[in-house]
Amino acid sequence: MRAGPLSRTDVSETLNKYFVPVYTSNEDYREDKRTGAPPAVPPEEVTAYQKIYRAALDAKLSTGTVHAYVLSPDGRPVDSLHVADAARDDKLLQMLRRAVDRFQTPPGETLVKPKVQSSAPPVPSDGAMVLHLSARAEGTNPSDDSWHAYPSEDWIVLTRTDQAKLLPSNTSAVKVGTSWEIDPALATKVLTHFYPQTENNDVGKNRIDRIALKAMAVSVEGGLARARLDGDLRMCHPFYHKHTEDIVEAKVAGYLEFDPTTATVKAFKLATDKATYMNRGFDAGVQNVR
Amino acid sequence: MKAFLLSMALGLGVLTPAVAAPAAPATGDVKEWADAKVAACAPKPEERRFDQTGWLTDIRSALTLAKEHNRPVFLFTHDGRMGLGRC
Repeated sequence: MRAGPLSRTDVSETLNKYFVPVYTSNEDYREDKRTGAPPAVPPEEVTAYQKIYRAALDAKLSTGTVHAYVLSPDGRPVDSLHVADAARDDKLLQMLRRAVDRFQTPPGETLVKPKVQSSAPPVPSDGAMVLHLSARAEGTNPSDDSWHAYPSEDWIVLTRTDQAKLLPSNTSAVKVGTSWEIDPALATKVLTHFYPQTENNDVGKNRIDRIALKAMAVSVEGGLARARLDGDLRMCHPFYHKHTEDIVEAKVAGYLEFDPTTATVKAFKLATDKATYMNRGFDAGVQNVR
Repeated sequence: MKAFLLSMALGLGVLTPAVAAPAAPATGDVKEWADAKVAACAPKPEERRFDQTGWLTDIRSALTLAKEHNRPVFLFTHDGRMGLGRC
């Protein structure tokens, strides 16, 4: 839908002028089957969704997990579309216009100021570092109405303990040419997100077949050391949720900057040098944003 | 979708590169290369049209606003993270 009607200007303008637009991620509304963790949203929010779902069933509207609904101003579902229908032609816009006619809604200002929907997660103020990753398959462009319309993004939080694992054991002794291996578990925490746009985005389903990330100091001056990073990844990441042997092969490179005296990481950047997924090229790049 | 996956598997079609960038230098500092490559991977303005809508991401806030302003609600439920393009 993001690759289709929800990125269309006419749909966006209609939503902003006449509606209260909201989207929700199903994962937040149900228990995590693998860990048993409760839904991420409060119970009252889960109840609000379930009430809408049941009311839609009672009203004999189409329902589903990936679904578009229109609710009346008092919260009753009055129209709906399965995602496959909503993404087709002008079906979604037509549903929106039916609702505007039905409720005689006058145009008005956007109620919620539009903002970038990909934003850094809240992090504790104890020196955690936030990384932002973007990944794009070959051929990614907005005119593709399928998987490759837009790049994918991820946010990764490195705790202070994680950051320490990027560094050699004795940072004050680092000289140009000093080399070390990054802890594989930490390399996995970052590189497990190195895959292009796919339907499955549960990195818990990834299987790392080969991973290495090495660092070598290339400069030490002015209280700042810079190390070149070189890495290698082979990873199975199923395209859909069912298991298939869909393989990422990637060579990556980048750099790490740190204060050798305080052993504090200042900058981290890593990108694919050459990478394929299911025999198609892709690129991914990650950097610290704070 | 089957055709799409088949074309991927066979490497068919003319595709623009993900990012037009040279290979990383074989030795030495790669800061300049990495800065450019990471920047080239990031979403461009025309790839953020989804963000032009004033979205909420919780139902109760939407219901409250709808009642206050007498507007209908558009609700889209999905698997994954649409805001991240991971869905």
